[in-house]
Amino acid sequence: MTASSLRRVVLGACIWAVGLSMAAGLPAQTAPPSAPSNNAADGSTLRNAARFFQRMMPRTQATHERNHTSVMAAFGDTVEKPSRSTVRVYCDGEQVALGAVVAADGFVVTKASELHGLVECALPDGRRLPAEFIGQHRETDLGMLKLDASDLTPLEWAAGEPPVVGSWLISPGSSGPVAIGVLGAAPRQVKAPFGLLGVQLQDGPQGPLVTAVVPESAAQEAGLKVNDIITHINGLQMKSQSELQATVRKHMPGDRIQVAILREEKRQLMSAVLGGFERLNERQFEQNNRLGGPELSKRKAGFPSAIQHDSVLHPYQCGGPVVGLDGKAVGLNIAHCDRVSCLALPVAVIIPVLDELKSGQLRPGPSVAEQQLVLATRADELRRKIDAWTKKVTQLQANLEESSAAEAAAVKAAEQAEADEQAKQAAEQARQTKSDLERAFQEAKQALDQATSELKMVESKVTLQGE
Amino acid sequence: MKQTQLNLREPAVVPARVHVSPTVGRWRRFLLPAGWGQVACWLLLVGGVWLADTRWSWSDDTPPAAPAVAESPAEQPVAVTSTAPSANPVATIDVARIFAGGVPTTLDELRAMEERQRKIAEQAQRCTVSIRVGNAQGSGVIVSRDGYVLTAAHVAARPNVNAKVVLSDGREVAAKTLGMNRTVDAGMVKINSIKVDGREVRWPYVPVGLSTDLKPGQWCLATGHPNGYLSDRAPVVRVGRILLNDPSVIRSDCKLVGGDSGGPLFDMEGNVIGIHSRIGRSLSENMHVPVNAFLNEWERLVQGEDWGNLPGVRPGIGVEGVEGASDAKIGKVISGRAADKAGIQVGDVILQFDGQEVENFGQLQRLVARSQTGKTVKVVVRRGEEQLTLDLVVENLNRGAPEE
Repeated sequence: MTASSLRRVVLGACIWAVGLSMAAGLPAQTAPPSAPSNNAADGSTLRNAARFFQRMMPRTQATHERNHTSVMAAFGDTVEKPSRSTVRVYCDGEQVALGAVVAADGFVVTKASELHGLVECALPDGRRLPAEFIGQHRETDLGMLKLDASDLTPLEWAAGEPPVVGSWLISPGSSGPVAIGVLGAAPRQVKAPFGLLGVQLQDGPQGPLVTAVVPESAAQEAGLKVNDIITHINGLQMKSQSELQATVRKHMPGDRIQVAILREEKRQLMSAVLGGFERLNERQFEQNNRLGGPELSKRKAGFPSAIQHDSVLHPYQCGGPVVGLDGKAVGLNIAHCDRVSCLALPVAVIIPVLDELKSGQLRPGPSVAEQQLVLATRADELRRKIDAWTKKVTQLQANLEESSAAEAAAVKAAEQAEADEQAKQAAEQARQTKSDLERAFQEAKQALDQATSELKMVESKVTLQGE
Repeated sequence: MKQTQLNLREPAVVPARVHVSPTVGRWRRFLLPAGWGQVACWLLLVGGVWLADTRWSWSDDTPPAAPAVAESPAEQPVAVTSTAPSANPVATIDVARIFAGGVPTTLDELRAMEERQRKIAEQAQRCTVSIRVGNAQGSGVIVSRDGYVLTAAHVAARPNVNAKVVLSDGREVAAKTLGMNRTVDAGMVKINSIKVDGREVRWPYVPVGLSTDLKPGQWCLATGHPNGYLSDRAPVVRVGRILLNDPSVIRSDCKLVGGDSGGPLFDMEGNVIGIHSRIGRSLSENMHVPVNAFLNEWERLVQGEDWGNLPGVRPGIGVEGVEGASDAKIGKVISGRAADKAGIQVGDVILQFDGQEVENFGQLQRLVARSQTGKTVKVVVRRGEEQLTLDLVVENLNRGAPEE
């Protein structure tokens, strides 16, 4: 790299102040719907405060902006029908996404990666119903919710190819459009960067051995240390470092993976949130893309096919339908991905996965292999506990015997010297010690029994071979 | 709106100046260092992993595959007429009125707008290119059949250097940077001419309009390569409205981001009215170079002239004068700065700066303020009995602002 190109790198990374003369019209920001009354989670307090101040700021929304309400109003008729099929999805009392009704009997599709905790759906008719998260499709980030309802209005999908570039795309909310935009790029695969764990490895007889941990990496955050042996990733056994690398790279930055290790012969389970490569100008890049707009979605890449449009959507407005002027859905908004665009999955990639999502075969949560590892790790832990308790029980038993003998001797001595207060006290003390020991012995025995019976139960569930 | 068709080989038809070129002072009002909070970002992409994979050969003796666009309909600039097909019930809608700054109210009006948007989007995409100069990439738009490309000055970076232009269909062609007016961030690039069977290859191009009469509320369409060129993605289209029109800058709510730099802004007749330059703190701060800034200085740009400094740049050399001195005697040389690096010492009297006679310190200040950062100038100084000629590279006092 020459000196001049280096200078250009600096040039690319430049930011500087601008005078105040630019009449700053804040972007049109729809105030997020307030949390439902049942429980406002503590974690959201800060976010709510931020939103409150956002709303308090003087908003000089220029009447000439494209997203001005005077323009949005023209789309009212267009979204009238699809709005009836659009729901708001709440998790632990806070809106996290929109969703689309795909079957009258309570099936709602939404953005899976935004879901957590207690899920509820607010229907356009005002009802708020609890929802069960019954299916998650990793490739598309679609999630299926099941509501106890039988009278919902399913979304109408547009037939044929997605509209051409330059077409209006409207994102309905439960009442009226939440955003309007124009299709800017035809369907294409949106590749995701791969995730990084941040370890140096060396192949060993029991699996890849950690020889170095990158500072501030996912591995360090998770607590991995040098000399740990990584045996499994998400329940899959890792035989070599190349296998491990390939497995990790199938995940995206931000994904949480389960890492099973052997440390000093003991099995341990860890959870790591993967990092990514920092590009040369990554920070500038990110800053640029966040300038002035709403937050970006957590999962904003790695889609088999997506159309790009210039609507301004908050992450909690993704997951719902996006329609053409005829009101028919051309796709589902799946991410607010950068300063200039949102991504939507086209109908062609949604329809084929709906049945599988409904079937219950794609239930969210840990896989069987991951569950097995959790059980196996618990079994190991219990065995270690049982060892320890067994030793303690033996020890206590010996102590107890000793103490019983001492007590008997003390009682005898007290009987012989009837008036001797000291001897009486000693006998009392010996009795006390003995009963304390007895109690400790019973407790230890109980703990041992408990651990033994839990181990029996765990072992009956573990089908893991070769461990 | 009045439409101007330009034969770009004959600058005589360039429309008469409608606006005097903006002065530096005008920019200062916007761009002098100010309190933090108001931030502008250039939209250039530099370096990065993906660029390392796509290096190209500069060699001129390996001409790129012959483009097959000679017979393509886009060879003619297509001005979109405002009448929709008569068979369409939409035909009665006065879509021109809406695009001129109005607001649609009915579904039929939205349909009429959509029809026009699609048409212009297609032409706009075809003529929008990716420009690579060295390790940096931006966007541009072809405005003549012989391959003149409008872009941003900070994309072209330096005049008369080799560049690569990637057409919207993925073809890569060799090009050369021409002139640039850094004051407004206007730059020009020319695709090297290629002959096939003795005939000059013609490029798909779009007509250039006028930025004179743009009104707030008028609709516009932007294309470019946001976040960098992707081989499986055509130039990305956005639609918005003009929010401010000033002789030195157009502001719109067509959202831009790094990589869009140099890309075109169109009116809804399909004419280029601006070139993307930079963004501010909110989504409605997307700044474009008015196309008149190109038209007013067309010949200078074609000739490869390079003048002015980018908005926000403050040229300096790092010296202070002697108070009360009648000549340009140096009282202080700031260590490590341009004058220090050039070898200027306390007590030196500056006699000449970049070929201009210097009589006093105030005059030196004015000459420095007008100079270009990064440029090497000859400075003649008197040191005791001696007269020395030193080479000095003017630097930018606004750290963080672009240098070239």
